[in-house]
Amino acid sequence: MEEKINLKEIEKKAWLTSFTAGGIMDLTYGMLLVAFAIVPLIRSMFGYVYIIVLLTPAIAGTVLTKYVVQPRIGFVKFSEKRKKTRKNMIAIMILVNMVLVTLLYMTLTKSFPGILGQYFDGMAFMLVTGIGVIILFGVFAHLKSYRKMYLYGLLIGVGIPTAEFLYRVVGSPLDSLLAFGITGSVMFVYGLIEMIRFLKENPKPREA
Amino acid sequence: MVSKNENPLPRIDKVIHEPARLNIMAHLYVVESADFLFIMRQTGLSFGNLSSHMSKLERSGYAKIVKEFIGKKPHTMLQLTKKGREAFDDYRNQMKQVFEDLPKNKRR
Repeated sequence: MEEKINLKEIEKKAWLTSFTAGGIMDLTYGMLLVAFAIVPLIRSMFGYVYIIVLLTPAIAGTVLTKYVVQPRIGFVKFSEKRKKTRKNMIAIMILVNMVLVTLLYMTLTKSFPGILGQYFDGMAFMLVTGIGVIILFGVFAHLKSYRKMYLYGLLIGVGIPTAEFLYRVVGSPLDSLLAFGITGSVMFVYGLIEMIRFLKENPKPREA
Repeated sequence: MVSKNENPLPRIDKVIHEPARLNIMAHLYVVESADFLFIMRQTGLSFGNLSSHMSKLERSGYAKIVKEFIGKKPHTMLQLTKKGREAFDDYRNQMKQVFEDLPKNKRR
């Protein structure tokens, strides 16, 4: 055989394929960042419609995975160890996303909790928040054996204090558009290219 | 276990040693089960090729085809049997032994 068979690599490849194929993670997190970018604008124009905008990336990611990606990559069941990791990941993912949405809501609406507001000014609070997000995503990336998750954490984590800084310089809604919109759009376009490539390379089989 | 004087080469499992089947076995070894499509995509084998190699693995008792319902859809899942996992472990040990026992190339 030309290639050395590395079981760990094979397992990792199968594991990563099961949730990253077709650039689905780039698309979802790209959409999430774009949603963060446009939320203040949507909120000022249409009120509570912004909640739908915030939920759209998660819904779109789930639908795309179920109806577009999985029929093209097939179905796999992992070992007990991986199943346990997946359960832990889902728990952390829920926690991370809840923290993230709360913190971003606070960033975008400038509503800091009372006691923290007394000790931190907005910028210091957002810096701590950003670092917290980076650490949370780092843990998640490590558990998931998915390096790109470090990048997502970094982009979101850096975006939070950047949005606060830009708010003081350019005001709302340009602050969030600049802090999250550019990186989110780049990530989304990259995910879209990956998805198109994936669809070309993996046509849906008749018997799937 | 192979003794030091015994030649391990004739003991190598020919069913697993074939590259395509080794590829299939390695992919099934690291998961609990997977459907035809997943193994096809991961190994790069065609449907016909995978079917014929799976038949051989099934005949040897190393793999089995299980019909499962995932949601409301029926899925044909492939998985290694206990015998298949043990045979794969033996194969790994034997191959390791073959290469460990080879003298190092001193001309380099």
